Amino acid sequence: MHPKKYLIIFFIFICLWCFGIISPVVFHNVKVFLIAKPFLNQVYATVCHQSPEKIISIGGENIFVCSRCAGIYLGLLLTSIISFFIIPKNKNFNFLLLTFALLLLDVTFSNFKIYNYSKVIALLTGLLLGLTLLQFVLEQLNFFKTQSNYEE
Amino acid sequence: MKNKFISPLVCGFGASVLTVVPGLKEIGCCLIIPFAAGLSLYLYQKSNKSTEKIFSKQAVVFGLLTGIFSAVFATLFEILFTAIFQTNDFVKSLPQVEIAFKSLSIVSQNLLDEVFKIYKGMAVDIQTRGFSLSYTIYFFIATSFTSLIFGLIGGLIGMAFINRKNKSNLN
Repeated sequence: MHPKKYLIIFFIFICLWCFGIISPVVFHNVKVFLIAKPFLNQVYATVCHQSPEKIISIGGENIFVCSRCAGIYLGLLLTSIISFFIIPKNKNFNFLLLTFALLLLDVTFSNFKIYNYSKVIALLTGLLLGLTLLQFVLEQLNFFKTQSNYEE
Repeated sequence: MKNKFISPLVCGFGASVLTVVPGLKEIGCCLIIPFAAGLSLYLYQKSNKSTEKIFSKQAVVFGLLTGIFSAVFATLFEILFTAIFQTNDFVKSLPQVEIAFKSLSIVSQNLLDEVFKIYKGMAVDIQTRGFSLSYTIYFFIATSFTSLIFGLIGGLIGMAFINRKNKSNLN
């Protein structure tokens, strides 16, 4: 499959996924949504611990994922939009490792109470990882598109 | 060739432990299932001592298998912990939903009210017997939906990463 097709599929998915995350804010007074909310909550619980103290609130309504996961998804959404205009050419693996290390450091430090958990730091470290993660994946896919010296 | 079900089974089990077991799920994150799917591909190649190119089809199969095994184990863990504690996150959150539900509209909407009755029935079963078949099905559908998507993504990312690594080793 052409990498652009991967990107389009991923973009549609991440848009729907991010809309789902903020849906409690968008549909907070819709009765139908209240019925769907426990199910959607469970859908997102599979990929996020959803600790109440780590979840972002907008207008008094909690979104479905924690600050760190929200940052990752926001980063992926932003990169997928940017990637339609700018094709990554550099090897971004080191950036990916760096951002992943930052995220792991924040998880470790906040869990071991070296400093108190901060939603802003969690969001930023998640955002950085999200921004580099999709770049890395697209770069990998482009690599196989442009290099045909791999024996099939 | 070793059985292709073993590595997705092991990785799916590991992912479900980190997403469902109380205490451990606090470190759970959206990266666990994709990582497990990528790892299952890597372990499969390692166990077969293979450096052949992984094709998309294989990556998709491994991603989906890891996702489905993760969902199955997560459901089994949920049944176990629900039976032990006779409560769960769903039961705990239901009263808040009920308050919001009743405050929104005075006019009864039959279909929505019926669905809410099913929810309440599930909560009553869990609190009295520690098990609800409807809740088990509900939990499995919700969990497998996410696990399959994230497993699929993880499989494709794992494929790209492993192929590149194998190619670098060949050169």
